[in-house]
Amino acid sequence: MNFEEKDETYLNQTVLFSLKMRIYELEKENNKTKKLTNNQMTDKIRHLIERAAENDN
Amino acid sequence: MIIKSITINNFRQYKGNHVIEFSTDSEKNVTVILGVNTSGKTTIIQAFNWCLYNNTSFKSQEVLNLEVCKSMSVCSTQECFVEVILLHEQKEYFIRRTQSFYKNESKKIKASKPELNVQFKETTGGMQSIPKARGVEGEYDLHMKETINKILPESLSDYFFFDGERIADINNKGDVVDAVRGLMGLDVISTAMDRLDPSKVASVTSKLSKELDVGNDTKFNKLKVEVENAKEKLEGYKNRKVIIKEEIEFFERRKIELNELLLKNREVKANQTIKTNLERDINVVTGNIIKNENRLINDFSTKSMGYFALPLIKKALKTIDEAKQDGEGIPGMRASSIDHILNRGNCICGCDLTKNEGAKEKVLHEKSLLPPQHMGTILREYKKTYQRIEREAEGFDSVIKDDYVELRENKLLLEEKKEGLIDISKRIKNMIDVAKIEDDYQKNEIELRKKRDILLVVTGYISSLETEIVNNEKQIAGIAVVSEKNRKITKSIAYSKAVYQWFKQSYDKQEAEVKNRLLKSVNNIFEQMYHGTRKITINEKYQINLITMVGDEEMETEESKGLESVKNFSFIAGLVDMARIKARTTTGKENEDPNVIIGVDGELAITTEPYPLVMDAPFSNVDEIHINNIAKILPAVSEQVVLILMNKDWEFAKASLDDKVGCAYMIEKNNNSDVNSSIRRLL
Repeated sequence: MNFEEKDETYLNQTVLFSLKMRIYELEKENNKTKKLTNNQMTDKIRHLIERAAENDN
Repeated sequence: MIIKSITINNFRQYKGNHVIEFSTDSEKNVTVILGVNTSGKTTIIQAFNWCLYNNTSFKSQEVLNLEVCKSMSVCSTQECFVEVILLHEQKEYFIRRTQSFYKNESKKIKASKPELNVQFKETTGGMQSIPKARGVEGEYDLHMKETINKILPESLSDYFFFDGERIADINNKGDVVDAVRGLMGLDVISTAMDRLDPSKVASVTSKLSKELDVGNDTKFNKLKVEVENAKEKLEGYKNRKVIIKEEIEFFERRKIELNELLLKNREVKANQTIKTNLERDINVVTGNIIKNENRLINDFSTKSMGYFALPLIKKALKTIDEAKQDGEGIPGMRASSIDHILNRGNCICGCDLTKNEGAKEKVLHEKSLLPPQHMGTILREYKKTYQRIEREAEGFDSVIKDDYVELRENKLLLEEKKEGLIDISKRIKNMIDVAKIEDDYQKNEIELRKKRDILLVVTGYISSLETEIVNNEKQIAGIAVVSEKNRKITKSIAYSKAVYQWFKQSYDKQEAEVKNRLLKSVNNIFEQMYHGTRKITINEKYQINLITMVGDEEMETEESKGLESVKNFSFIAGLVDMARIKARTTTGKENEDPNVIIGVDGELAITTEPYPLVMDAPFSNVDEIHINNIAKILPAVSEQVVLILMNKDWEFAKASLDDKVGCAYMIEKNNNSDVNSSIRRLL
């Protein structure tokens, strides 16, 4: 199976949309408050992505 | 952002407390502050910059009013502060910067570090303070600075708190790209992109990829290492590409500058060519003069003797002719030669002279015709020599004359060329050395070609590395999906990449939209101030140029000072106009186009935020005709306009602005002092 070929087409579009919005809002919030460091933000986004992938199952 | 008021206390010229309330009326949105020179007009702009950004052009000790400073007793303390009250996104902000000053026992003033305090009040709630940043040494005001920068980025503040005397420098300001992005909210998307960018080693996507593991599968691990290495190299080459592009831009700009210089100095170049030709001519003529002199000397030394002896020679020839001593002897023969023939007894014809008396007598006769017995032969030789000298001497005067005339002409020509050289040297003295510019131009061309070649090579590397990464990742993905864990990670990577693509496309689209909107806004404002065929263009670094259409081509045009001011005003007004418009997202329904930051009804959602335009001496570089045009536009493009200017400039703008003025103030010098001014409200 080829990963690139299936890409977005096999992703749940509702989950994907929600993920996009969450990440955008998170970035927007942190851009204002600067509460989280770069590494913390990367970890948090990774966590959001992994949860989205789980929800897709 | 709308400014409600500024309070200035013991700051610079303003001793004691001075409050300026700005007009917040949407109809009468102009506040005018009038003042004479050195009364403290520019200080008001500086007070804003000091309060908001701790940024002034003077030393910290100079912040405190001089009279207050002088009146301080030993071991006493004084303070100055500036407080700005402004409205932003339905909150009222109170921003105050305070600085304390202590006069020590040796009467020296010690200034403390200026202290920032930011509070805000929701329209419905009580007062709240922006908290001090904890654990950041020397940066207690970090959050406060960030709050201020969110309201109005410092890098853009020059455009909103504008010094009109520096309007000509607007195109030389630093790169405003980041500031504009921040203002438009694009920095959020840009940061999110960076965090997800699969080509970056530290991105979420790359970190997830590292988690993929299929045990001892050597091919998989090898591919992973290769991908990591390729990504590192790719990042390096991308950075290199950015630098090379900047270098190319530099050399291209330099090329244009040098070309302009060469065009401007065409006349100097022509004069320098004349000078070079004159120098060459002088060398040639000087060489000719040396040859003339040598020839003259040579002709004189070889022919003069004969010329001057000519009368004597003629007399001698006449005497020889009269002597009728023309020699009949054998030319070149000597008497001793005949004696030799007689002694040996054989004639040269082979005849035996001892036996042939007749022949012997004949030979003896020949001897009698030769010197010393006969002088005729010698005289004949002399005659030949004299005739030769006579022939040569006859041309002497014309040869010498020709030599001299040529020498004289060349000397005159040399004088003429030397005068010409002095004249042209004086004319081009202190002028630019065009040959050096041409040399620089050629060197610049070589560097430009080199950089372009390098760019091609680097772009090639980038392209090949990107292909390598994509191919290897495909193979990795193919191997990775074998396990459940890898399946989950693979899916996460797919989500990460999908979100990255969405941000990237949104960013590209929105940035293009921002630039387009700014361009339209600037040109719209420009057209209202200037009626002609010119248009304004904005490059990727948000620098502005005027262009006009020549045939089908857009050409950059030269600008008069007035037109340049109108262009720059249009840019400032366009920026202010654009700052009011911000993209926002709604997290409501899913949009049909997932590549756009979602708004209601599927459109890019827009909210507006007013921004003020505070201008010091806005018309100081503008001619009277354009003052009127600019004055008409300003209240329309900004919700709040504050003009700080001299009476004479206000007279020209008054007709267009008078009915828009909500507040007016006059700055007055107290006792004509340069260090003590008051602000009196007129309206």
